[in-house]
Amino acid sequence: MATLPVFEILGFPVSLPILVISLLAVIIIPIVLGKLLASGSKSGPSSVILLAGPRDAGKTSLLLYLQEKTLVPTQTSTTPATIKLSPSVLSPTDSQDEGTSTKPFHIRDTPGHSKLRNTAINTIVQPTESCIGVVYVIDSAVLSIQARVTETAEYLYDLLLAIQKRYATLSETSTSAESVPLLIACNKNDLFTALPSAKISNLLQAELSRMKETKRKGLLNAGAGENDDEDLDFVLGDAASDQITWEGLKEFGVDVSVQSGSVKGGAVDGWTSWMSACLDA
Amino acid sequence: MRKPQATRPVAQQLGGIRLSMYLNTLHCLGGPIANQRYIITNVILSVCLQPSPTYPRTSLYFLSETAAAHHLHCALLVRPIMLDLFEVITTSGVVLWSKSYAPVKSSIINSLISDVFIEERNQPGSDGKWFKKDSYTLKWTLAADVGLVFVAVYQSLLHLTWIDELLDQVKKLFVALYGEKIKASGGAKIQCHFDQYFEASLRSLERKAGGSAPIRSANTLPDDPSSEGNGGGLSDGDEWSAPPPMPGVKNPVETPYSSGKSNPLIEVTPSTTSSPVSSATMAQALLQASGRRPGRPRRNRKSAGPSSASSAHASSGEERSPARLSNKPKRGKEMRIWGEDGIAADAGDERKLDYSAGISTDDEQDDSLRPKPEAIDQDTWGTRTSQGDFLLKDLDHEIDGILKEASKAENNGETNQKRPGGLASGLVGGAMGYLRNFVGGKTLTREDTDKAISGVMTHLLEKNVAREAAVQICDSVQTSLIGQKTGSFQSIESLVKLAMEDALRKILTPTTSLDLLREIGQVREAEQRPYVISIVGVNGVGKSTNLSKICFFLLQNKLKVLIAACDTFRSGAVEQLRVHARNLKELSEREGGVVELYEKGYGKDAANIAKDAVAYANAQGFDVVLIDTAGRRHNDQRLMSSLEKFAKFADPDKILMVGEALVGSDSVQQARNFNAAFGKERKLDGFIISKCDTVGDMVGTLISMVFATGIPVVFLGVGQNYTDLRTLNVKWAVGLLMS
Repeated sequence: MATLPVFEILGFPVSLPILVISLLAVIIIPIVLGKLLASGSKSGPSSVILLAGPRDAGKTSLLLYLQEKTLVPTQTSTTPATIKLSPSVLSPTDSQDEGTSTKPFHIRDTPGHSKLRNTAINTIVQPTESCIGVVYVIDSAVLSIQARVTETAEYLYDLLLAIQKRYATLSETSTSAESVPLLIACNKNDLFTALPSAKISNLLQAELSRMKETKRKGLLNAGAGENDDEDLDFVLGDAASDQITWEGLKEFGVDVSVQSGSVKGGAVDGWTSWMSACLDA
Repeated sequence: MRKPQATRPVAQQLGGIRLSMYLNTLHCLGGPIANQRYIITNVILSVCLQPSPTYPRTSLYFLSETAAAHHLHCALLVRPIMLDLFEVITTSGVVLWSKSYAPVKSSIINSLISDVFIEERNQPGSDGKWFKKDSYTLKWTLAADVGLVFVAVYQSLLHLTWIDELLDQVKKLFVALYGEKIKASGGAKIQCHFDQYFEASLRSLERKAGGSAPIRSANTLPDDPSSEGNGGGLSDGDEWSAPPPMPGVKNPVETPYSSGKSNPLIEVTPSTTSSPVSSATMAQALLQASGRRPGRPRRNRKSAGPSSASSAHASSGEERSPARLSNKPKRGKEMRIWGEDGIAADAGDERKLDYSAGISTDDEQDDSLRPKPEAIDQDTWGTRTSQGDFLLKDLDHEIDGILKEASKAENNGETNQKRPGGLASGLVGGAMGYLRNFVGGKTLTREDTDKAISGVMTHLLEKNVAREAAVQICDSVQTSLIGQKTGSFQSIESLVKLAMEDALRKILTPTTSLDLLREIGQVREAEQRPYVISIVGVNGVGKSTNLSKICFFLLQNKLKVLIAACDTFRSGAVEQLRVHARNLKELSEREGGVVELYEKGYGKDAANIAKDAVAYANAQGFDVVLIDTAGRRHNDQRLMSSLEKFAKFADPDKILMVGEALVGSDSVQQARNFNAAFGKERKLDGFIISKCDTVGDMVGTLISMVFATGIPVVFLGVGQNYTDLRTLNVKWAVGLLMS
């Protein structure tokens, strides 16, 4: 039996197998650790279109309609879902006009329950998260009830404010900040009680204006001023006037458009073309 | 599938009981004897079991005659379905798979999700195990790791003991079959062909319940006479193999039946595994409880001829039929076949039924008809059976395999954790587990989170959260964490902390708009009446102080406010308000607000004064009425009972309860009692948490009160001045609680 060569390192005799094993260990362990880490930290999805809106408006239905091209039964969501789609799903079914980009994009569906709205808000406010557009899905058939208008406008107010904040933060750091466009998708226009999109647009602008006024007059938040939150003096749109119009919001980086449609009736072409415009932008 | 409509209307007539009808092939029932007679059995039985039979027996005769007249060549089976709906939903809201036996509004499940899952409001007494809505009971189970919810919906009248087992079994099956796919899809819709698996599981559980349940059911029957009729009776019968027993089964003459099995000539025969005693017990209970038809003649065995043993293979394509064939020996109960007059019964297992074609003496059909269908019958019978059996066996094996594997994996997980196999593998496993604690990627179990959770709980208790609330919040956080993976370099503690922050934020976030000014404006515009706010609470928490703060806030917004002094009990209360009113008037003169005090002295009924005050305000064109009430102890029934009348008379738009931030574990009970004090229709609308400046960061009372009732915090009192009123900032509160 041939004696294995023995090296001497720092005065200790070390045999070859031990040396090899320890060298291997030194090389392999960082690799394994690195792999473990890499698997854990996924970078967020790119080109995200956000679906937001009050409960029972049809966000998840719209998402699944885009994916499956059929109406899929849904229930109230409790967690957000991000789905990767190819841009071809946005092109109208009959025309073969492929979008200019073929890069897949993501749609993030968020829960509409008022306790769970901060997922959508957070996605917008975080400048690191990708968000190329927000589709605010609303139920146009219930807007004849004042309480539902209030509910719808309240969430919209928060979203618009978040978009404005994102624009403000981005424009501080870079010269060419891109604003996030928002589409108010008036779903369920196949129903008898559904209001036309122009009417909804006016209703929401009026409600938002009133909301802005009462917010200005309302009480301070608890804890306001303690840790000088930047939320304090942040109001939607022009600080000088309570009036909110879609045009007025444009200069604050909030681009709002309103379109009617219906997931159930399959009339989503307007929305999908808006989305593909977002993708192309 | 010929003439399924023939009996459908009749079945639908039986309003109290929901019957689903299935076309079934002859052999699925076990033999040529089984034909429409079987339907009749079930239908008549159902009606007999109804608490108040609105449909006279004659209509049933009509059914049987119709059926006979039509000579249906397929067996129509009327199946009393116990389950109304079973759905598998992802947490992102997609219905992956659902099986509906009766139309159920989707809002039923929606309200389960929003009430229990999102707002975490368990119904009293449910302990988070069931949820009742309209006439339905919902039970559910969660698979947190794949984000699935399994919901079973059934009529509350039924006592289904096997629902939990079904949910558990379906969960294991579904996760095993589609778990990977669901994880990969990231919340999108996937195709699930789960029908067969579900049917088989349902069947086997029903069969199992059919054998064991009757005794339990007999015990429960007297408690609830209204439900036993269609509830207890139906829930026990395995409708495929055995109809529920008839009232009057308990009879000395019954005993021969059990031995009658050996003699194929005796028509009335219970199946081998059926338990005549238990079914008889149940029948007796039924009879006693309902007290109906005590003198009813016993089943007339003579006339129980298997009248039309026509072949029935028109529906051979039906996919469910093979499942029904499962485990013939396991049949739970005897099957009864009803004669033309609706009295005669015939019971026998399918083997018996096989022979019966040969032996039966059909009294109403001419014999010449019989052989022909028989011949066809046997032809298709064989192939179909073997096919069906094969398919079924396959499926059953598969299901068993999946379930076994799932439970094995579970056990493995447990043993692995407790005692790793070898020393070396134990060391490696331990090292990896230890490493994962730091590096992340560890799948959490209840044991892993125990330590972190108890740490967070202590933290919450230190923040003055009531123990009851803290325990429940921690429980729900822990449950939500099981099965989750830690992120890279994320410790369990930080994950638990994040989850707790989320939970607290969810609790504190209001579900309704709390913009008081806008609501006042809307009410003024739309209804031209004053907006009424009343303030209640325990003694000395600061009702009058907070009322005057709110008043000041409203006055600053140029509103006309009337303060109604409805504390007619404590001396000095009215004078105190008078001072406030005078101060506020002086302060607001420049702003343009108008304030007035409405007082009627002491000793009068507060509810009446409040009513008068509202009427006065309406006449004088006030915008807002603020009603101050006497402080009362929340556990004093005498004082609390007057609140119901108060709420009715004054009919406030908002009832706000003032709670001290100082109060500890009593806060939960205070909130609950006040919330319940206004009667069934009226609840509190919000809390004002006073004296927040005195507790520093120990604002746990916020959480306790909101958690106990699900009612939002509208205002916080943060000082002694009129201006020291704030709205709640959820981010701020959560920050304080977690600091």
